[in-house]
Amino acid sequence: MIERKLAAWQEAGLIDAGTTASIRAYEAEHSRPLALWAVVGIGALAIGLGLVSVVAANWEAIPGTVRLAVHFALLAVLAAALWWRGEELLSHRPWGHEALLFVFAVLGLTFFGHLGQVYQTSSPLWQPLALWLALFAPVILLRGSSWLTAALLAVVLAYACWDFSDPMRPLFGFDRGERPALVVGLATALPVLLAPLGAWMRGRSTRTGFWRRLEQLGFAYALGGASLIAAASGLDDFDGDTERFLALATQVVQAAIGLGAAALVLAARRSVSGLAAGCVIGGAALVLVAAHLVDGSMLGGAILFMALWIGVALAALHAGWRRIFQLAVAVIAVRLVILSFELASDLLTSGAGLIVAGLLILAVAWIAVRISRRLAPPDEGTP
Amino acid sequence: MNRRLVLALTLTLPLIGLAASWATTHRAAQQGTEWLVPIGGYDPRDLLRGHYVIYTYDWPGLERGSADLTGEPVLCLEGQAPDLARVYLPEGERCEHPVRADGGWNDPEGGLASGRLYVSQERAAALQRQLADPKLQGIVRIRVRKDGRLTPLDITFRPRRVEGQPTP
Repeated sequence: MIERKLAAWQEAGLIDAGTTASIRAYEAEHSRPLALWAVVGIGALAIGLGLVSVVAANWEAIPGTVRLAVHFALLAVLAAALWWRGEELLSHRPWGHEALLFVFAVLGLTFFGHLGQVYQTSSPLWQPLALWLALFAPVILLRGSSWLTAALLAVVLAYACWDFSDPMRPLFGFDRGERPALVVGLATALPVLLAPLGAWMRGRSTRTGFWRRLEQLGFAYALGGASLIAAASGLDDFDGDTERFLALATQVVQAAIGLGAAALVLAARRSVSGLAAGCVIGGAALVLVAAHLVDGSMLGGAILFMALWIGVALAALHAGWRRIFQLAVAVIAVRLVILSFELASDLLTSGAGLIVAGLLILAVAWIAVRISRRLAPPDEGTP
Repeated sequence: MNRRLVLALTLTLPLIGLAASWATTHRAAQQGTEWLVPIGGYDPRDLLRGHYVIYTYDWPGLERGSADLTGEPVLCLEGQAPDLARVYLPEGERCEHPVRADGGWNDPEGGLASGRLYVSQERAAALQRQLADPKLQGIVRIRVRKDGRLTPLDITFRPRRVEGQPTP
């Protein structure tokens, strides 16, 4: 492949013979034996799968206590390895360390499921998840170095919070509908606090990658949650017998936590990017309350949604987040197209209406692409 | 050195926590009284947590069967364990052997109407066949702790007595 390209480039006069020769020499020196790696990888995979299926086939034949003991021993070995070799791995092979830590944490998570299986016990899912967070979050926060463990932590936290606030289950003796808004609001807004935590630590730790990801995950949680609420606000007036999830009191609590998180981000990261991130999180918090003013109006919901994302686009423009800016423009364009269909659904039944709708989509897409190209900040920054 | 100590602590914390969780689960599993409860109905399997059988309890003594149990948090067992004579809803009466609705996700109905038992793949297939057999009556052996928490242990079968056709 590269030989053909090289010949073509040399022929076109893009590179001279000397460059061609040095590229060839470089490639020969740095060539990776991909085929060999692939064969070794397939072999290792086959052995691994074989081991797994041998264990799986005899799962019931192995006494539960023995299984749990082996599971526990594996955890202990991994902990020992992380203690013994952790420092060296972290400085020379950060990915190796990260993988080890991830496997340690995931094995810990599956231990709860394994216990349940052996002893036929059950509990609401948030309980083992919360216990896992209490046990494993310290080591992840202390040693995590990339998005892998950051995402594991954020996903488990979000899942635990949502399962805890599951509207189908009674909570502390409260039936659905009369569950305290404060508790539901606090629980569902908790993951947003990852943003100030990451913002605070990223300037004060050497593991910038990990803390930056954690901040981004909190940011994404706030933005995603507000977008969902804004989208839903056009469909339902959030009154009557809707669950406590969407009660005004719940959302006021969430908004208060969101605003607090925004203020903390602003305080922790005094930069253009920090300011923009804080503003987006604060704006997302305000959207949660504003959703109740929309009162089920389709147009109002759409305007709220687009206002949120226009804010995101402005923040991205200000802070120089290229990808986020392009995402915001695309989201607004899609919402505009959907809105045009919502407002003029009867247009679609006539040929002329279809032509108008098609032209509108093309116009929105064209403007979005123009804005995205012309205005997008040049660098690849992210919050 | 201080860093090493903190790392050692954060690494032993999960091990201690998991060991403690195992120990308490193990201890809890040894306590309680065993009862035999007739059951019916089934649902084959779950890919997430291995295989299990979902069944509905045929609690003896309830007039409208399990329909009586929607929303009921407590049920009283009566009889000489493990033989269950009848059950009743406490409604202010004294309750010697209570069973509480766990509210856990283990119970698909979130109440005392049904439960699930984890078994191996082959066992699940066999149980599924036997539960569908009208000539067989399924019996689940449950362990009930003092605090009313219920754990299913095993499912066995006996020939079902058909009305108007006395068993020999």
